[in-house]
Amino acid sequence: MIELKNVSKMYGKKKSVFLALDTVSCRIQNGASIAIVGKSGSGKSTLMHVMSGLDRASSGDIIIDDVNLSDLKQKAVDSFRNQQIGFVFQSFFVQANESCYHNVTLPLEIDGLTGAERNRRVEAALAQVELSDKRNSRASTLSGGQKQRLAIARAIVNNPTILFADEPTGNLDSTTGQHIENLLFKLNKESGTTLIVVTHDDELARKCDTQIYLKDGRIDRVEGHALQNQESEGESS
Amino acid sequence: MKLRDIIKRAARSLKNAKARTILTSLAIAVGAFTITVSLAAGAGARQYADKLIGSNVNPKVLFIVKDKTLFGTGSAQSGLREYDPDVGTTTSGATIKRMTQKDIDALQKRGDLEFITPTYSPQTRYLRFEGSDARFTAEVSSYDPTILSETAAGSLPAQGKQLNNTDIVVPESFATTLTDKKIIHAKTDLIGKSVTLTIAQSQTTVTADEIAAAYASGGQTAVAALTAPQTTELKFTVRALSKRSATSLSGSNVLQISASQARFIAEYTTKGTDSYQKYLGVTALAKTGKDPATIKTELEKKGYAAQTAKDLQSLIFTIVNTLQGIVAGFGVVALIASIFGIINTQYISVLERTREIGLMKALGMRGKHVSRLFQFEAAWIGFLGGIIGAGIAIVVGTLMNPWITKKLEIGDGNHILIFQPLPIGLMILGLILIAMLAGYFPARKAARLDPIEALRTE
Repeated sequence: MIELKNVSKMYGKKKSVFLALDTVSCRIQNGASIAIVGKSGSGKSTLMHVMSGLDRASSGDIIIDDVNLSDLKQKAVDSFRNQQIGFVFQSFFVQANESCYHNVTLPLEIDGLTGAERNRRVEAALAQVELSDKRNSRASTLSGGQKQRLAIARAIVNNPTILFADEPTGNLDSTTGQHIENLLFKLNKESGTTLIVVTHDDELARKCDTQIYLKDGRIDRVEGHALQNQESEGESS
Repeated sequence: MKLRDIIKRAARSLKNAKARTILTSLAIAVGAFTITVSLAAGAGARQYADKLIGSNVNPKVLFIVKDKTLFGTGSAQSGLREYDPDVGTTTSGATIKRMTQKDIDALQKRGDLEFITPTYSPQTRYLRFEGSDARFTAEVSSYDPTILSETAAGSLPAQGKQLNNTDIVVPESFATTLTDKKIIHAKTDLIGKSVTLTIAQSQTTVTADEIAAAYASGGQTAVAALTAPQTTELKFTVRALSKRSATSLSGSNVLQISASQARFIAEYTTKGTDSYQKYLGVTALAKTGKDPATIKTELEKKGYAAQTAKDLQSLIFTIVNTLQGIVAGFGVVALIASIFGIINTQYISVLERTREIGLMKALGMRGKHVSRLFQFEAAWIGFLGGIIGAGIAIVVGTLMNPWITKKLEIGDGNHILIFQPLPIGLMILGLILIAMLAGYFPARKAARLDPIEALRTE
């Protein structure tokens, strides 16, 4: 379970303070699919960064499966991100000059796993995104859809508890985007990984169990189910 | 993250930027080349010097003098000295204390020295070769039986044996002069021919009474005879022509005669002067099983100064090391220039790969490991540069060696460039460390990148 308690994030100093997140609180069940929706500047990316341990909250607690991220040291946060979180980005961020294999194995290398274990897991992840035949091809030779599938393979190779997808279909045509969406939801259903999609695409958002709408750093409204005890937007105002 | 995986990833990213990697490596290769050559030249020069000393100086030899200043720096000024009849002047003008027969007797008594020979300085007026009246001048020295020199013609006695009193060894170059002057037909014709040395006693001071007595008895001619230096002639037979060798110094330009003849000439020419039976120094050999170095320290305690073959070697090595240092210095300057090349390249690499770094950090890679990744890239560049530079140096050096050897006339079989694996290996190791140091600042920049900022870069 992911639990946010009065999470705020501020940028800048004293006079030019910008409040990117303003006392956000919510609970997300494991295995759910959540969409964080909002216009640009609404704080949806910041929320994702704070929830995933990429960034630290200025105040408040992020508790993931009884671990409070705010209490962890940087080394522990890095390790948490490495083992528990998967990331899929809008612009793929695959290493173009590396082979598919070396792209996918990166999180496992960082974790310090042995070669045999890495091999086994990479093969499995590539099979899940149907890229087994591209194992030794350079990432630069892949099409956009294939690159995003490769990025997904890299995101799931460490069997994460939470998979973050930041505008996963933003750079793809609708057919390919559809394919990627299906793949993400399939992984969410089959392996029980919590899927958190950050998007401004309503169509994609509605495919998720729950939609959290953000506005000016606050939760504007929540639709769907799978959120428990939502302390909604009213509390802070 | 495991070190092995970091090193592998570093190697792969370099492979992906081949042109940049090779160009940066080449900058280091220039330094590596220069240093490798200086190492090889140093090793070659030392080996050559070893050979030179080995074929000219017996390793057990000691040169013993009474005056330490003889081994000191020649240009150093010293104050006035009190008169001492044992003090003489060297050819270079320095005043030194000489060895006397008493000193030689003391050395004889020690029992750990053999072949104790004073350095006679036999002075000759002129010499004539059989079949010609032409007069020549040449330096004469006593034959050193401890070294077996090469001959161009004739034969020398076995090692340890002196020449006979009528034997003389003539340098090959003298024979060349004689053939040029058509005194002999071929160089080998000189063997068995006689050589006459004319020596003169040093002028004695005559008193007025002596002059008066001489004038009274024989007139003007008797006075002239009295004041004219007394001369005598010594006849020798040419036994051998000493060969001009690249590594041999002895006998290269002096006539060699037996020690007793040298002594006779020296005593004849110095009779009645302060220099009579006084010697610049004494050469002696340490007996088998005795260390020349220990004898040296013992002699020094007794007020003598001594020089061993090792001292001579270290003197030459000091010169070689200085020259080698100068060449290596150029290499180091080239390396310093290449360090900035590495820093620049790595900074650009960090900038270019901002997103990659951001991704790695997002995936949980620690700053320390990101920093290591870039430092190992720099290390690979250093390694490549070292290998390329040393490789080119070895190939070029090996190809050039015969030509250089010929140009320098250091004799066949001697190589002035000797490539030794250990110093080259250490140099490459050093280059890797230097490259890693150079990569430190770019690596630190990479480690400090904020992953969120880095991933935002499009």
